[in-house]
Amino acid sequence: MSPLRTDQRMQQIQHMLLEMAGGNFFYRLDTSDRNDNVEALAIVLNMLAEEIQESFYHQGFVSSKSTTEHLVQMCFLLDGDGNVQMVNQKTCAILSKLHGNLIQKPFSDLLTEPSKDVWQQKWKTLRKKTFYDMTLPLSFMTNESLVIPNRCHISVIKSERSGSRNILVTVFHTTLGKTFGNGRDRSALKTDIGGQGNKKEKPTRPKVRLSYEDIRKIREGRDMILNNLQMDLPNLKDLAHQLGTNEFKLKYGFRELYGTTVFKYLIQERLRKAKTLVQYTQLNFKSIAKMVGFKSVPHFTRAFKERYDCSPKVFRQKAKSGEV
Amino acid sequence: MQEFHENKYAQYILMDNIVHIIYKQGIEIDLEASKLIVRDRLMFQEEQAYPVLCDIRHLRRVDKPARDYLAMEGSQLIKALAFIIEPPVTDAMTQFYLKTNHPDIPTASFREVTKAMSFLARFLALIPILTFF
Repeated sequence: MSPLRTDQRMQQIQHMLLEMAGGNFFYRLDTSDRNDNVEALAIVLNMLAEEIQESFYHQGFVSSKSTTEHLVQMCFLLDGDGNVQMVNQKTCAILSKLHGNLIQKPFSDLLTEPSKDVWQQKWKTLRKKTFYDMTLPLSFMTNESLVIPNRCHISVIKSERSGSRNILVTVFHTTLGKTFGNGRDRSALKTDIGGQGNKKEKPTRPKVRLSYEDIRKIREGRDMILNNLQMDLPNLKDLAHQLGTNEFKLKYGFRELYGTTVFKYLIQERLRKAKTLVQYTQLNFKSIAKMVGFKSVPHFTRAFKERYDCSPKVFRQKAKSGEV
Repeated sequence: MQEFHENKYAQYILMDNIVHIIYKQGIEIDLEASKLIVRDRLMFQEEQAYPVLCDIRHLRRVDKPARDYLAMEGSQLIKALAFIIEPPVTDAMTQFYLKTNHPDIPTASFREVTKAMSFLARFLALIPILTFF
């Protein structure tokens, strides 16, 4: 790679790391087919950002105390020719572009090369419609050459008065109630600060506090279950001891992390595995039942029906006819 | 059983009782793609478990939902898995995948096909799971 290109790539990686340090995990680096160390670094960094973004969204806790919020990340109003008429303030900050450099410019200029092609294809359909909604995955390119992939909601609207057609592109970002952004959603941050200032209101604590070590052990337990689905579940007390924790923490933590009991989780995962085999193979149900750990076919069929609302036989028929 | 299958993302070849999956150049694997890849492999294998050689040297992008799907559903009817990689990119990708997911099957990565084949050959002698039933 030329030293100039390496320099540019390193700068992009630095920008991405700084954004991540600021709590913004939705940026990505543009990648190519090259096979060099910088490319490897960029790909790993993208995957890391995906993992972190997901863990903030899910946070490992099903019964998390905060609720998820869908924030409008960016919003564009386009005219009938596909030029940007209006944008919201956050768009300028996220794309690191000046307002003046966005207005009256083609919307497609803000997209990555592959997304430009997708947009141009869809534009042919959009320009014929007067009242229409669709969603489309598009990737935006910031001034610092970072990529923001996201699902865009696109609405075609027509003014009754003037008869002019406009296109509204909205990009949503899902986050937890608590915003980790760099002051990009001030209202959410203010609520948090207000809550801390009021000393009389003590936050209600969960009954048991799980340490990172506890969470790690419970995850290890989950991996053990997943990797041995066909085996009988050991006594929970023994399992807990094997993991280095106690039965109470295992039961409580499992419910907190995965939203169900250890036993129900095992059944759920056995059925998930069975579903793929029912769907895509011709294995008989006796073999499938045994492979995923059910003692008998009737037991398997009953559990399958409870979960997927139809028997394995019907499910296979539906799969063949393309219904599922 | 047919000995060759091809879809948009990969070629599937059965050779010496080992399934070879060769990913094509310039593809991106998202959730839909990963579902199709697993479905086609299961259909191709016709209920038999095999050692699988997975040539990912041309692969550059597998997104998070696809990685999760492949980790959860992708290991069915696989006795052992060998990735063929080409450092640094696919080596880094494999290491990341194995670090964040814990496959329940013997998995290793190799630069040379012959070494991967001798690793997989160790699992050939194993009686297929199905013959137990």
